[in-house]
Amino acid sequence: MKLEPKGITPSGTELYCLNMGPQHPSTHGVLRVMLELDGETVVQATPVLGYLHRGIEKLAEARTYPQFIPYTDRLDYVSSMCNNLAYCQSVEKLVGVEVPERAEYIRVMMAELNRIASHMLFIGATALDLGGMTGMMYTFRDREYILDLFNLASGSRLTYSYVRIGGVMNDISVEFIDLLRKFLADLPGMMTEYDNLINGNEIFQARLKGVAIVPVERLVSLGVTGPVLRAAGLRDDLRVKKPYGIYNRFQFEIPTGTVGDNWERYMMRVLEIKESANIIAQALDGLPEGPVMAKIPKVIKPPVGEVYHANETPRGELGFYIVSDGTTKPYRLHIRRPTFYNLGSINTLCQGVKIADVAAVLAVLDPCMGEADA
Amino acid sequence: MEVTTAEKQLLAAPEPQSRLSELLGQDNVIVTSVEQVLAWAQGHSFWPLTSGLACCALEMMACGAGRYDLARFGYEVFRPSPRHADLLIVAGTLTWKMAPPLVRLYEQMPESKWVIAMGSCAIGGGPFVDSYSVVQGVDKLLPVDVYIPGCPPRPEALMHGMLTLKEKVMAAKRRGGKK
Amino acid sequence: MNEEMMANGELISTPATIKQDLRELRDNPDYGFDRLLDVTAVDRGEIFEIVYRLNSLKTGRDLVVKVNISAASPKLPSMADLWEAMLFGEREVQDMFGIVFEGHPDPRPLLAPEEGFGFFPLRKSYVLPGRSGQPNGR
Repeated sequence: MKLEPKGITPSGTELYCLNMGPQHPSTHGVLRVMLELDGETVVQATPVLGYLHRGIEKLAEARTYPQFIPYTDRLDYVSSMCNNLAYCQSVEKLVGVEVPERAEYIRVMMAELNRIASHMLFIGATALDLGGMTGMMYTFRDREYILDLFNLASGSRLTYSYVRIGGVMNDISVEFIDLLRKFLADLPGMMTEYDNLINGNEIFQARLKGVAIVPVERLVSLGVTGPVLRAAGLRDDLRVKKPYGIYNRFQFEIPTGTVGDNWERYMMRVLEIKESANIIAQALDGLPEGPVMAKIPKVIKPPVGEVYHANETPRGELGFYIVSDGTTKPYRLHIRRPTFYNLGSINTLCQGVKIADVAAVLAVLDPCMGEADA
Repeated sequence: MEVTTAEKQLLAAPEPQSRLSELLGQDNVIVTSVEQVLAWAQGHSFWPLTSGLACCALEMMACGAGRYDLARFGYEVFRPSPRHADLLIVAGTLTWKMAPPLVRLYEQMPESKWVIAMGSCAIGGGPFVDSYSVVQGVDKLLPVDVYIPGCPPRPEALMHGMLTLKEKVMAAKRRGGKK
Repeated sequence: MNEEMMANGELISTPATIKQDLRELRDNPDYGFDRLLDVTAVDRGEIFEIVYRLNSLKTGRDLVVKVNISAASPKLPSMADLWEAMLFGEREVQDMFGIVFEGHPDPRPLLAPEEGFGFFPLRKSYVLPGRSGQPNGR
């Protein structure tokens, strides 16, 4: 892929092609961006994906439905619970299984906890990308409390495979609930710390405010979903528009921006942490007793047909399109990945920004390459 | 406050001899070989390259963060440039598209350098072993010194792996080996 | 446009009319499907079934548009000028199935290496090598 310099630019220099990645401290994983620069201003930013393309959709055709659950963990490895949930709910729709109440409540708690963990990692990674390594240390320390909770429940810190077809893997203990209440009580203190250290920092704000503003119609045309779209002013969240599971039982706000610059894309996720904590508190209060796994057959053989089901993950709309031919393995499994389409907007977002802002744009898009490449 | 017999014994015990003070003896001079000093220096201060590819990279970052502090071993300086690094931790799945850049990164690192294969994807392809685009193990392309199993390995496992590498580095120099 | 079919949430179109159908679905204020969420394909043997997933932001309505093309010479007009999301979506389908989207401004491989895989992975004619440890064609 050769980019030929195209002559003298308005600033009097030649168009300069700079390669960023695939190994670079400022890319969230193996993402390569080919930048064409007029001096320090970006004229064109072409993302190159595929460095983590592992063929998950083809592997799905060689695995049974329950065997595919660990692969959904490794899609967007920062928010594994949400991916598990989206996949299991799609299969449950296909098979026609009703999940017990207690399992539904546990699923919501786990998904929202994972949202908080993912957003905390986002805050730290954004601070790190803009040069403030201390921010990463603080958020990683706090994220460890959430990983402790997940460790208690599922045995694993990162890739849980906790949500299963028909319910969840096993029940949560009293110790888990106590630790969760303690975490929710400590969370406002943690957020105040980030406000003082990261969000309130003048330089941090100056680097993000007013940068990379794109009209919302272009974002819609680009297929962007998630906090990036909500920052531009569209109140679009699947938990509210097409509630899945029992999300319609909870009261929560959807943070929405007005201008759609990098600052608002950042603040969306900061505000969502508070709303997720709200949802978890409501779920804890309403947690019923009962089984955590429905009575499903040992071998899952869905009827011939197809289904599409989407969830709102921390990155946007994650959808599973499953075509079943009546056997134990899917005929075709396609994953609608939010990061894939969000990364398609890099060129639009990076028009006219400086090189340092490219790192900021990539950071606030919050890409996860395991999901973009699948 | 009464001092118990056990505490009296503890207070009366002689100062434990540290290995360094044993070596120093009375003359403040240590006699050793250049290889041993180099091994001691290199083994206690690996500078890893930020080469996280997939999920294992998050556990690597968690290991470098506050709770599982890598800094206490001297390994917290993750360098973005391969020219400054001496340890390549392949954390995550290696695909055939990423293989040429990774090999080029390894070649750009100056000697002495080591490779750790972290996670089952780097060891042998992991859950994606039968995929069409995944390299079945980093050791198909690079010489690996330490394999850390797990999917992903816990940060403590990564620490154990790096300390094992330290033992390997220091043992090789003691035997007069090349690396 | 078959209103009955659309009431079920699914519309079957033909390769000749797909572009004008999708344009109508986007521009006609009665339909107003301004968001194309996803494009994918399913290998049904003799034919490839392309699936477009549309969504209306105003009404919240979903619509799936399917079009069948022949597997022997799979090609379809590109929708990249209607929705910018197709700049990426169609490149992925092209890498995986070998379907040519005519008029796409940038038809380079996206997920495949620069020179392509050498095969089209998601076609049923390509079989995974299995865990016997065979090298993947390298």
